[in-house]
Amino acid sequence: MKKLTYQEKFIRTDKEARATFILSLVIFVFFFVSIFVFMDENVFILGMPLWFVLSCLGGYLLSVAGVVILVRFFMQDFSLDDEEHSRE
Amino acid sequence: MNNLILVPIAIFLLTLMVVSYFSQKNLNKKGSNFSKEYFIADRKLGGFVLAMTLVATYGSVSSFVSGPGVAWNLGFGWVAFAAPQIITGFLLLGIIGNKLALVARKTDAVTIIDIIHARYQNSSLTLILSIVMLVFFTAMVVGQFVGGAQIFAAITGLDYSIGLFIFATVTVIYTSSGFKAVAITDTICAILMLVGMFTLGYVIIRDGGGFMHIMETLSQKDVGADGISRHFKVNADGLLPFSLLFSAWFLVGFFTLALPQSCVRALAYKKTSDLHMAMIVATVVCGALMIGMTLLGVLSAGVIADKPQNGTDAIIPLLIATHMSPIIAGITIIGPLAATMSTVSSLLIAASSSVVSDIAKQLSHGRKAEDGAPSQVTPVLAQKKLPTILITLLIGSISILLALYPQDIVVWINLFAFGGLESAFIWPIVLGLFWKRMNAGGALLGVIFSLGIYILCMAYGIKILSFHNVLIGALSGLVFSILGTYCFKAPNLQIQEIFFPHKCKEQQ
Repeated sequence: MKKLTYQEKFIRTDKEARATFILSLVIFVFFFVSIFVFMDENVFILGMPLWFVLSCLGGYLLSVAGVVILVRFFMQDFSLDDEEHSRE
Repeated sequence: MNNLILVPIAIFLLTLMVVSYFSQKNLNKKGSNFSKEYFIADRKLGGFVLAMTLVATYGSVSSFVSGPGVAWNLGFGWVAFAAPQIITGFLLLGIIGNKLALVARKTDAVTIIDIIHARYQNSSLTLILSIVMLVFFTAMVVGQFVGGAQIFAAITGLDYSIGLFIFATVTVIYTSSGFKAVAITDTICAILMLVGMFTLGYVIIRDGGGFMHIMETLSQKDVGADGISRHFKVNADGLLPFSLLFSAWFLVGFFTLALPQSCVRALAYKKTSDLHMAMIVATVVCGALMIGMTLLGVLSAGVIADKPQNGTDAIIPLLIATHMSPIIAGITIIGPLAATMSTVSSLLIAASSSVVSDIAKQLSHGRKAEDGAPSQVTPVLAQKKLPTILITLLIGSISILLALYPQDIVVWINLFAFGGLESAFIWPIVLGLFWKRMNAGGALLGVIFSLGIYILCMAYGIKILSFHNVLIGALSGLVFSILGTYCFKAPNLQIQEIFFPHKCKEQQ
């Protein structure tokens, strides 16, 4: 685990917050794009309308995959305790 | 009525009692900090429990009953309304989780109001928000109790008040054991909610003659002018406008990150690795549960053809009561009961914390905070074990009474409690954590306008282009938060060093 100062931890959390927010926006956009593009197509997958399969089921898979990538590549472990002051 | 249905329910209730009894043993340890132990489990939650308690708190009886009922009527379009919940599993934890955890450790905060107090040092603001929490939480607890008792009565055939009394009393008693008991029972509840969903799914597909056959049945129901069933349309033949779908992304999506009963969980986990694991688990479980249950509502139209007399809320209870053997029905009904109880327990303990640690503090030495000196975060009352437990029991008992004798006002408050909590807490929390300039004046104005306009719009049925009123409230709250902030001084240095250490470097 990396040693960070209280300040550096906040720089980290801000970065991670930004990455999380971007992921949620990507899912939001994906959801509406798949609805608007395919809502009038009369195509069915396993009996379910295509817009639904893409936006809801696809959106779910996207968010699971997205959060795995987010945690693996955009987040780091650090100690939540205040290390600088604990020795005093 | 077959009594076999009660066997799984009895085992379930008994298990919760036993588990909570053992999880509270730590409370008696000498030298431990009681309120830290009681309200946030001594900041020792692991990733899996954190994820499950978040999902169980969030998933309520309406996720199991009302939502699927509407989906039975409207079809896939309504599942799209539940879909924004695919982001709620990770949004809160990823955006404010670690920051709340860091600040809470720095200031010794055990409630969200403690954090808000540390950030704004304004006793009017904390008092208003504590009361908002207490009122909305109590109304929501009553709403959950009523919903849970109704489904219990519909399925078992037992009297409404007997069912209510049994499971509500169990919930209140185990909640009084503290946050650790709540989190662990939540985990059990979340797993049983998934089990209930699977048995329901199995029975619906079996009795509907297979998945493809159900789709076939659906395509011939409620066919519109264009020859296509409304069940397959995203706007359900005009019943679901897009502005409402857009609003759903805020009401059950983005704004859920400010729900105080969820936020408080960020004060309770142990390590960042727990947070990371919880983000993944919560996203998987929350999405599966919310989309899954609503989808089952759509499919149930292939099994139940006509609208029940008591409205669409009766669809799921009817399925359980008439399409399942007693034992399976008993196991399935645990799903909605678990959803009810896990939501209630979290609301109840948060309501109790808002009385014991926040409101009591304000009343005893409310003025102290304004001296600028950091006031003691946990007040004397919250350190005492007996009064704290008694207050949890008291709020619980009041809620049970209100559910036994439903009052119009409580039903009414419950209707806009969810959006009300979001509109009150969103800006003090989000702007407070990410905007250094944000101050108490801005927060106060923001809360008053956000909540006020939201409630006014709800009460008078004011609509703007069918957007949900939570959007109108929150938007005006944002404007007034910013205006208010620029009318008053920036927060003092001491606050900045705790909340924005990386943005006031010149102080080193």
